[in-house]
Amino acid sequence: MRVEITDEVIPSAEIAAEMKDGADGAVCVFDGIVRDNTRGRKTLYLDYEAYREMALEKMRGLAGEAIERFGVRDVALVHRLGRLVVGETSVLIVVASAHRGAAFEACRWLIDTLKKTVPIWKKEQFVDGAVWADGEPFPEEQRVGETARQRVSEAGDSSEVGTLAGADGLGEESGRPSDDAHTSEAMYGAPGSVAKLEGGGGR
Amino acid sequence: MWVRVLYFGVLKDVFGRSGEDVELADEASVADLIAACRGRAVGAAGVWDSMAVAVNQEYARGVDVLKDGDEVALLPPVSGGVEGRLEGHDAG
Repeated sequence: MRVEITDEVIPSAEIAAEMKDGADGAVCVFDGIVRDNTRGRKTLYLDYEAYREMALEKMRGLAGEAIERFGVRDVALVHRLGRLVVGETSVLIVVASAHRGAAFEACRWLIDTLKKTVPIWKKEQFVDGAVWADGEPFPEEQRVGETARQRVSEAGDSSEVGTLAGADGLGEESGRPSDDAHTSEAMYGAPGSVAKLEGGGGR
Repeated sequence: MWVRVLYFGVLKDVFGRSGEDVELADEASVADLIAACRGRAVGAAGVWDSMAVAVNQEYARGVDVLKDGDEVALLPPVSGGVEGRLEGHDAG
């Protein structure tokens, strides 16, 4: 297995070539690259960040699980962090297997699961603003749970909303509150509560 | 007791920092910590209901009890890899 998080350019072709072995009948490559727009909005670049140690550990777990689950021979899983421009590879997945069916399935499962469970985030810089990309919902077993959500919503109703963060966290990026609203709206469908909370912060 | 709290993604912007030490009552749970953090946050309201929490780099539940020195990461829905979640759903 080759599992890496890197700050450098990912040499996709080299890695794919190195993965081939005499026992393989198929090598399936998923090369995820930065697209030039999101829903028609022109993208300048993406900034990727991670909870690095945990992300690497989760990626190792996924690679091992793919081998076990789909019976493929070997897996390479490489994710890049930092600033990436249009056309650059952000994630590379290579699956080597005796048969193509398992290679395709493992490759698809790896990217889909990585996007839901590996702690990596991207901020999209557009010509006219920046926004944290809408994330995939966490699988049920990884959410903090109903208990947390109930208790949290009780706390959210209290009047002590926003003192510390409001004082030092929000002044720098003009235009960011609307970006938050965009993210929340698209993802969580509760624009009313967004407006209420932001208003409560005195802005 | 004290725990080290790490903020990622939009939460890093909300709090204006990547992490801090937070004092909690003994036997405080993950849910207690979230409530305390949420009470100080302005903006990004939706993220609190959809995030995950990792304690010492493993996903945790709200009922899990914290202990002194734990590293607690607040994780907004992840968005690594490529392509947007709403691809093909432009109305979203």
